[in-house]
Amino acid sequence: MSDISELIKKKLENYPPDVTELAIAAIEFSESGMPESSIADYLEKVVRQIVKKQGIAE
Amino acid sequence: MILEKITMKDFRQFQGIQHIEFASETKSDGKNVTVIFGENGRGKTGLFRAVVFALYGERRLSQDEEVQQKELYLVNSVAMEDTKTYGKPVEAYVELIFQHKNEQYTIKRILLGIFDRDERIEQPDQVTLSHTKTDGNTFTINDPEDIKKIINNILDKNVKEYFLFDGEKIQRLTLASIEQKKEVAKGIKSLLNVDALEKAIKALQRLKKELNTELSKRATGEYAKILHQQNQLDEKRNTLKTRLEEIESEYTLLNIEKKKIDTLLEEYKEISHLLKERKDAETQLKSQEEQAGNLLSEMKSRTAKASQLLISSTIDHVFDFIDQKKQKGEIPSEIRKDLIERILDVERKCICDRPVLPGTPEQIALIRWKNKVSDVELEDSALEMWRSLSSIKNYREDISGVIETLLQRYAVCKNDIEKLRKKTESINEQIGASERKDAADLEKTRENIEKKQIEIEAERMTTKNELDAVESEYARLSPQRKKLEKEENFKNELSLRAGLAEDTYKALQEVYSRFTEEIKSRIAIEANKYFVQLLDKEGRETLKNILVNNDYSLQIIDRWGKPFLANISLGQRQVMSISFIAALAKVASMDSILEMPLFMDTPFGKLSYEHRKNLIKYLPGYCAQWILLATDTEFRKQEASFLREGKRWGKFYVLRSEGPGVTTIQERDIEEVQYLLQENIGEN
Repeated sequence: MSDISELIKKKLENYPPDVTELAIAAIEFSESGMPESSIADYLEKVVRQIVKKQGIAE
Repeated sequence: MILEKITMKDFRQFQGIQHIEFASETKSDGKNVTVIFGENGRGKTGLFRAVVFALYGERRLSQDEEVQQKELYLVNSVAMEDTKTYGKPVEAYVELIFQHKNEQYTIKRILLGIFDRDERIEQPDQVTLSHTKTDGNTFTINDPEDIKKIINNILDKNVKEYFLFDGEKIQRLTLASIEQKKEVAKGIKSLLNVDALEKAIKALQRLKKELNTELSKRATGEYAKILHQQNQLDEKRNTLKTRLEEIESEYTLLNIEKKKIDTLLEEYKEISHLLKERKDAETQLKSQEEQAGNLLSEMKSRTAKASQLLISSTIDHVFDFIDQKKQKGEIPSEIRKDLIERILDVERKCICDRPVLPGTPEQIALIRWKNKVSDVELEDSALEMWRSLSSIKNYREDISGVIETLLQRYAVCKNDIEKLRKKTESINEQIGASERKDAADLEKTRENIEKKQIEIEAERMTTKNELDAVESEYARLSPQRKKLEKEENFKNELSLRAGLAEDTYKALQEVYSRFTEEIKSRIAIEANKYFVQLLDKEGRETLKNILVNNDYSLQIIDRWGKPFLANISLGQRQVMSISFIAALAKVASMDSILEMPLFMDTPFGKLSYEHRKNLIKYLPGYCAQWILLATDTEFRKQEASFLREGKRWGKFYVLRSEGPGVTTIQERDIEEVQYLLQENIGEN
């Protein structure tokens, strides 16, 4: 079943890297069986990190 | 999940401790078929029950619909009789060892059986799951809820019947009710990981909303206004989506209620002819309504492409103007303006060498000509426009004709709908006026359900339109928001975070819709491949295609392209269901073999000779493990010989009766089973 996830992740490769990174994190958190609200909380942290990383790059 | 070993103690017919080790590809010999052979009543279904009980704690199988809970015993009856003497409860259990993703699991469920005076009571006791990871560490889980979660993650309860099933009942999968279909769709989504994708989308939507709310609190001016609007639209979109889901389930429940009433009404023989008439009228009505809907959508799509109809008079006017000039020979001119200008200003002589000097009659005549003709570019443009307008006029005439035909067909359709509605109403009145008061009451309830359904249908349409409007308004605001962010160089961290959440949410939605479409079409392609292999010659000639509907239910198309599911035989249904399961397994494992057993009770009961032969030949290659619980009449010398030829047959067990209610399990060498089996009974 993880192979199916790989297929979904592959489809995300055509999007900008920051979008791909966040989307993959969302799928992986969802697969872990966490409730939706906790996933949103974790994703908030991931978004923060991605944007911070971009800031440094700029 | 690959089953390794099952051990039972005092479970059903299996008195004392007995076990079976299953053949599986994970073992070195690569053999993956186990046959458990027994005459009727020897405990084959008991074994099937043991697997389902161990994994899910379920006492009942889908085939037990008509059996009352208290009549269904799992604890061995002989052992139970002994408790009467000793007064102690019987501890029965099933222990199942299986592998999943190279890790080992052992699940054990205990059941206590005791007599309370003469009443037999069975109570579930303990359940434990031990999980040995690849690094060799073992964890023991005792919480039933945690165990349930782990097992459902490995093989979702909603799709268990796709892998653990009664061969004769497997065709039920193609007949499932709306409610069952929903459950099955849920299971399939879990198997294909679509549910994780749905959850990810919902979580991102939540995150997006939180970030936008935060952002709108800090923003000012036009930007704040747009953010506020988008937040409100988002809120509205969620409410509408939830309402649409509620409407769907309300409608489904009402349908179920209606069907129940129809079944009850069928018992009143005096109105049976009316019920039949109504059923026919309702079927026709449904089909006419669908047709009207299709015609309406076609008209909408055609008129959307015919915006020039709105400027018809302008098109005609311009076309006629140019056309008249064309007919008079003014466009294109007999003599081009650039030639006259060259004669007048450069050459000063005509093409016949006659001089054209200022003030001469030749010059005056030529100037008059010059004033009459138009510019070359203007003429070319006019001619180009004439050609374009001419094709627009042709297209308009074609499309007007098509729309007119569609309108006529729509009017006929609406007329038929009206007639059928009146007919149904009249039948309803006749049924309602039945002398049997109970029948009339049922009819009244049915009528109320139908009224409610009409209201719900109207609400569904309004909600859907509202949702479309909200979504298009949201999409309209998005570029405005981006533009403002750019113009005002609004690049604080929070807006970047909100933008990223928004873009990712959209990306996942796109991926979701592409992925689900792709997966459905792949399941259909694979199912068709298996179906062709497994079907007999006649079936291959009649049945052409398996289609996978949006809810993952199946339809079959005959050689004439018509839906044919209602007409296929039980054997063909069984073959179709197996093809679907194999396809599902293949797609879920991304073209390799899914680590799932096919545990089939009575696998060949309804199958003809060729279907059996094909199943035995091909099925071991479709799945990781095939466990057959077969009777003496379906597993004969011939089937054994086909299976042996495939070289995948690893284990053979015989269920032997040792007296009333007691069966022992005995393993036999595959090479020596021939003497146990019946001779062949011909090819059918």
